[in-house]
Amino acid sequence: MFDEDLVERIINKAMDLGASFIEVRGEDKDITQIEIQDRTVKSVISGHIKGMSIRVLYNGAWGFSAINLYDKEKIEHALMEALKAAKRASEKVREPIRIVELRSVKDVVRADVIVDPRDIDPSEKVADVKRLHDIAFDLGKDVLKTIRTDYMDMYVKEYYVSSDNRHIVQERCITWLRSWATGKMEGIVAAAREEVGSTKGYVVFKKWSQEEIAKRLLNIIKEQLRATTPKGGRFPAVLGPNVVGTFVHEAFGHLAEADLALSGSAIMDKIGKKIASEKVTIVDDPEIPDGYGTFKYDHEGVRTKKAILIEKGVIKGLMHNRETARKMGVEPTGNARAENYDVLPLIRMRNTILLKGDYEVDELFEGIKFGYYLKSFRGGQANLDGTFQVGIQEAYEIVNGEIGRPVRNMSVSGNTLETLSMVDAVAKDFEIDYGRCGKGQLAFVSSGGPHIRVRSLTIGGRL
Amino acid sequence: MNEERLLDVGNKVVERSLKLGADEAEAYISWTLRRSISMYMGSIKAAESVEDFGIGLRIVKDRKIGFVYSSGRIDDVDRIVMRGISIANASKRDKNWHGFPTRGDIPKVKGTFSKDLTEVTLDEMAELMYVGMKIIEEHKDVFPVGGEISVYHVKRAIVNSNGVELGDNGTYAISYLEVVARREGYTTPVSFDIVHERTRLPDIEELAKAVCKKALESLKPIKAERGVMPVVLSPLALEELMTYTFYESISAENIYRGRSYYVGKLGERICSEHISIIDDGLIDRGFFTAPFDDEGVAHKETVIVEKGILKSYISDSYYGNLIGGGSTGNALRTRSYRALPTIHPTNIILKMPSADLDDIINDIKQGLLVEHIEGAHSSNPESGEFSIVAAPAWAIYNGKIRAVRGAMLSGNFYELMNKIELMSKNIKQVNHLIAGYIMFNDVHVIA
Repeated sequence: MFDEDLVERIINKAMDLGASFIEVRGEDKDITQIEIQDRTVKSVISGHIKGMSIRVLYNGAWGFSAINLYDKEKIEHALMEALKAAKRASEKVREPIRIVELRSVKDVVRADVIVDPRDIDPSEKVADVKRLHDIAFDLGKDVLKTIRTDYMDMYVKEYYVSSDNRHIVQERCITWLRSWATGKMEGIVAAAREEVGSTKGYVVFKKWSQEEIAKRLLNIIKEQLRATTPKGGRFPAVLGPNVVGTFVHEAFGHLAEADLALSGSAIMDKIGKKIASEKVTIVDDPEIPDGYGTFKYDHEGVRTKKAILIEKGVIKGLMHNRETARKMGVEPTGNARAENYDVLPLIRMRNTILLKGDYEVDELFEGIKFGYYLKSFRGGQANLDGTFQVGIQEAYEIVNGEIGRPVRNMSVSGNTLETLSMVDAVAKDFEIDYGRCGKGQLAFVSSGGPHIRVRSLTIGGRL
Repeated sequence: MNEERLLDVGNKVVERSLKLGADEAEAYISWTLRRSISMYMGSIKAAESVEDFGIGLRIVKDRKIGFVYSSGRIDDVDRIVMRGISIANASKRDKNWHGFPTRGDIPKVKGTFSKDLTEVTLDEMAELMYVGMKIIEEHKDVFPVGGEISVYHVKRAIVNSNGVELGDNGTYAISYLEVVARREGYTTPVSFDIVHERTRLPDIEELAKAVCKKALESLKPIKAERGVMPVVLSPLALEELMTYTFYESISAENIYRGRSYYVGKLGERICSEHISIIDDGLIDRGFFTAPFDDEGVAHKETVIVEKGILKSYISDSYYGNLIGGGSTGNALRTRSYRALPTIHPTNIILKMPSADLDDIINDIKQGLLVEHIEGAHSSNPESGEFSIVAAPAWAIYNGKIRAVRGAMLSGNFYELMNKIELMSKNIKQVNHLIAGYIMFNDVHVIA
């Protein structure tokens, strides 16, 4: 699909016409999606996406053109479109964009899969997902009302060629499964969500059996059905790995994406300063085994490396692409990701984690007279000014150091930096999650950490 | 790629599907050209031109349904069809399947296509963005965060084995700006506004002035006060909240599955008798206006709520048949040919008593004005329970507004429907919703 000679000619032509940088990305992607609702197979989808795009930097502005109906003329035309677009944009540029250029590289990276999802018959995948529902209905006949599961696998071959002579072919594989279940009892409705995944191919049910997923969902529902509602106000809290992951991703991570930081996020003027408790170290690590954000090259052809965001409470750095790295005089971290070939790469997180500490999990609960244990989250969001909100699907009261009654419909909110400064204990356990992050485009990301304790957190609920 | 050519491709694919063993087939083919100018941190960042062509094919065999899609040139029709048949085989028999829609009378619509808009150059779009940036720059303490002006030209064709053979051509322009204000070390939440148009570029001056004004008004916030009080939501905030609550609960699919708050409530009062809610896919220049939906069913006007009484749900052909009444023309493919049609509103029109926004605010002793919300996606669509952050937001004291921080709203949207009082007169379309600012009484504000 990717004609190297033709691409080479396109790149030379762009440089002859005055471009300062050009990159060509191609993509060939197979996707399978299954949606099962209760006992009904709602949809089975097989998709094939292929296409290519050209990004040109001309006089400090980007021009971008993508096509999928291509032949030689079309590709030349796409280049001219991108160049024309960049020239036009450059006339209005205030601050010319400059980027980090890299040494030449030629590399082919194969996906590290145990079971290639393309080799598994779709009917087998349907049967496997259906089994999860059968088990859930079987185990949860007293409470389970509905269950919906979305399954997806994707095998993508990406091509990258740039004017700084980086020739990369990279394959990646993602499998993802998310179940939503609702239960009802005596007029109370409860909902639960589980999301799992892997980069190793069709192994999700080997990592988490259908029975395990079903039990998790039913447990969350049952706890909510007998749960009390939270008191509003400020309380000490213990956060489980899943909530810590969401917090470091949503509340802190986005602030440390260099594009958002440069546009005025709450941490821009705090680099090098101590903002969090000494117990807090947060990194975005592209090498976590089987993390969604584990890959060798990003979509700007940059070799990925660990981004140390907070080290012992001090803000150390940000997540960069070629452009923000140049602007701040650092090396790019390889955080540029694009959902598909036809959109511009953005700075995205990969595997964002809070590093573990040395407390036993039990120790975190000791000495809390009344507080909350936030075990798993429903969803979350954060604002550039450093405020956040995370919805919690699984929470408990902590009474005199012991886990007490379950709590439902809880959300927590607050100021991220203030919250990080109130982390007074970090445990030695560790887990990562598999999720999807939306920033205009969808990215598969992992996040996680150990259990942590926060001295005071704003808990939301009914008055 | 002209419309006839799209229909030709569709006809050929459907014909081959039937030849190769499908009982029924439906081809959805679309061609999209998106051009956009984006601004980032006060500088024009990129000019884009993205062309996307592809086909989505639904194949039915032995009442099993499979969906395949493929982007780019269709070199081998039979391969896509065979893939579709194998996917259908992997699916389970659906005893409720009743066939693709048949051909119906297709209405005419106005204001959905502008040749001029297809001819707008990236240069003109960049110029417009530049004007917006200049206006932002003229506001002291306001800083541009981002923005985009995008123009879409979309051609689609739907052909099915039941005689549907339709094509159309539409234009869309979506523009937004994001700014913050910064003073004395304090940065406001992002002030964001968006304009949805069909036949023209946005009024960038109005958009830029609006976001700057809101950003400046967000400076010097005080702490929000908790309590139960009237809350005025912007159309933007309301659209966000309704997307995760009301729009879900009126969907025939959720009704059929018993997953909606409104199951069995047709004919019952669900809000004040002064309120009517209409889904109208035919109004002039509506952002979701088109002659037919993404299954080829004619768009129409559906009265969902009439004077407070729940009158109808919205449906596609499948669930419309299951709950009775047939399709209301609300099948939408959210990611063009890459997605199956699902039930969505077209244009949602709110009708209720209205007043000037200033007068509404003036009459509030203590309340909250909310421009934007976060976290609506964590709402429970079935129960209606939500808990959201309101930012930017302003406290209202005796008709005067003052920026607040740390305000959260919580409650039940379906119960709140009974607390809708008034709407402002300045109506705009934000995505599906056509409404003004809406005042709700007795909302729980948590600080």
